[in-house]
Amino acid sequence: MILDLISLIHTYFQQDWLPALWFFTVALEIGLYLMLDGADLGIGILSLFTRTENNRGIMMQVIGPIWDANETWLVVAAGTLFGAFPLAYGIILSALYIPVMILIFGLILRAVSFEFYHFAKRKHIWGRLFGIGSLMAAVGQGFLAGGLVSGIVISNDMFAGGSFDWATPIACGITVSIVIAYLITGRAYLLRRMTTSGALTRLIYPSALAVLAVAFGTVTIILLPNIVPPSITIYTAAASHKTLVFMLYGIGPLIPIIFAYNIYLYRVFSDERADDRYEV
Amino acid sequence: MDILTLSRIQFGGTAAFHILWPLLSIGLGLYLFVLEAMWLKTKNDAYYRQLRFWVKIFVLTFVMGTASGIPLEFEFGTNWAAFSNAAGDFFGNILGFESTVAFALEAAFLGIFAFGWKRVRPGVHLFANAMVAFGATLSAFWIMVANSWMQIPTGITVEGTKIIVTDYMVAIFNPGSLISFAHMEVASIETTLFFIMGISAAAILFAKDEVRKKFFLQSFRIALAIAVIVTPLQLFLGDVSGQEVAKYQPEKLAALEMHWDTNPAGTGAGYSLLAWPSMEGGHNTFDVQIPNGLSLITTHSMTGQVKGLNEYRPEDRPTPINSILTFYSFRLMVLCGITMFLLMLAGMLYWKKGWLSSESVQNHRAFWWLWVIAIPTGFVATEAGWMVREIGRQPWVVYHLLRTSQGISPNLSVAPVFTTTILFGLFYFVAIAGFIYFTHRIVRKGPDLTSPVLRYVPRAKKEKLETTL
Repeated sequence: MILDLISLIHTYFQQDWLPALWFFTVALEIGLYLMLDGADLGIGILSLFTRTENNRGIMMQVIGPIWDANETWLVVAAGTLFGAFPLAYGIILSALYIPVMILIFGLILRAVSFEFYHFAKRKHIWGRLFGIGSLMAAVGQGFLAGGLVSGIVISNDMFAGGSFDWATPIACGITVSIVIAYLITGRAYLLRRMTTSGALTRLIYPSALAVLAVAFGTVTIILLPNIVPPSITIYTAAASHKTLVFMLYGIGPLIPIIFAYNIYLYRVFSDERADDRYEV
Repeated sequence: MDILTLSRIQFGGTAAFHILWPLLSIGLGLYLFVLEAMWLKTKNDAYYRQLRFWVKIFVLTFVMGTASGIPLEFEFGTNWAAFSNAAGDFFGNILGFESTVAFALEAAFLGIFAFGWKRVRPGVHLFANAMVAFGATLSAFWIMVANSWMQIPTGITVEGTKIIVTDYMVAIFNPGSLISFAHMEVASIETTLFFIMGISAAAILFAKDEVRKKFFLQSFRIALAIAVIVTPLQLFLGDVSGQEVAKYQPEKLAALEMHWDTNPAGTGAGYSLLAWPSMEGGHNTFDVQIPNGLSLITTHSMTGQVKGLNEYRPEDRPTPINSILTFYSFRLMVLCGITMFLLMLAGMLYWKKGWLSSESVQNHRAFWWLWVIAIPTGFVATEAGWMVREIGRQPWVVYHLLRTSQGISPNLSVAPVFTTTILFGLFYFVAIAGFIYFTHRIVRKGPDLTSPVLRYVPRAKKEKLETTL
């Protein structure tokens, strides 16, 4: 009886559990990206509204050691998606070409202007571009999510719609929400790092993260079993069984390790020291 | 312009721009690790000063690498969705490995390496340095595995429109992966050494004081000592790569030698120093040949047979334009490799004569200028090598299995691809200009030789920045 049950679970899992596992792994990576880099992007957008160059400098200093590691979660998520769901990777990115490009140009603008800001004499130009890059990245992500949730026209397992299919009212709503959520997270992160605060203030940043996580988690679960709504399921989009297993052995054990050293990184830089600014 | 050509320009441009930065971050990463290890071992702060100076340039290149690597990763999906779907079973997985294992390692430890001097113990800092260098090299390994598999796809079977992996070890260790990884890794080190030596030479020529001159003479000598091993090694690895191409991609070999007709048995194939094909293909309208040269190089026999391009159908071999690009890129690469080898010999001669000292600089200004002019050599060689590799395998994106034209995303419109291509071009131009400008500023400002050495300070009680935002 028990053996029957075990073999039943075994058969069921052998067929189905890998695509689901990798779907949740990709979702987890994207979720982590939103929570971690969301604050960086929020601070970047906020920096557009700061009045003095000194304030902008401090904002950039706060995220200096971590934004690059945070952005890595996006690269990791994209890599995992490509590996586990190559069909979905191609469809999503080619269908949402324009939002993806807005995101990419936003990220490269942010990265390059952040670095040039360090070395430049006329800092305000690069500081401004840093803020604009952050805003573009957030908007690109908004329309990417919105366009995906709105559904993608497919024929013969490939994208068959138009270049502007993603510009729906729902997508606009999602974009505005994401920008606002990033602003709140970013402000909360700054509060946490900048002020000697009471217990209540300390709760703002975790609460902002929790809201992001719940919102993203809900959307992810509603999508299932589709990975590209309305018609491509995680099972159609998945790579071969062999590949999913190989990825499990190759990447699986590393995810906790990456977690561990990212937490270490945060601990190392958790206290602010006024004298080590720009210690590159 | 059609969507295929535009996408090829966009992707080729992104790749050509991106490769500049890993070249430096791989090489500088290893160089910095050597410096930090030497510093901890000898307790000689001169190594620390070197380290702190070159880290500035390293951080600049690292960020450029990240910024241009993201578009590269995403363009597989945006512009080459059909390729991603067809080849993703292996290719996507390996790219996933690269991003998870290697890139995550590199990016996370860079923060500690660049900003953590006072926050972590020296041993931990050295470990972070090692992880940054190791991450960059591991990235290069996975990328070269993925690319070599596109050149020599093994360990697979074709099911409908998809290429499915049957044996992962055979696919990963395809006949091209180890040699091309070695060739690329050594190219990175060699390019970086000539970059360091060129910058040092410029700084030596314009040094305002003796201390600074000595500083850059030291970095020049460290790099030159490594170049003694690296420059001949790369010539050897290049030859091995050539043999691999001859064996597995004979069409590419014929294109890069502009060799049209298989030489009849008993006669030798000539080596073309210069050549120009007829635009209809089939023969050269002009060439300058060394008799029997090609047979000798390829088969190590005076009359060995080398298959010509005419053995293949025109739609299955590189077009005449692609052949021209492959042919001249190959010659440019070889020329650069030999130049770097000869420069290394000249450097060693000067070292032996005792002329690499601050007193001798005035008498040998031309020698130092030579190194300044040679800064681009490694970059040019690498770009040319990639041109040979990628253009020479056209019309295939996965060799003999998938054509480049079959890999393009369906339903893309020209306008967004055109616009983004222009914007990428603009960005790459500004980024390279910015990099040169800021590197120049860093070098002109020179090393910081006076401020106290940053050492680990245990964590004090929490102090906050006093600011209102």
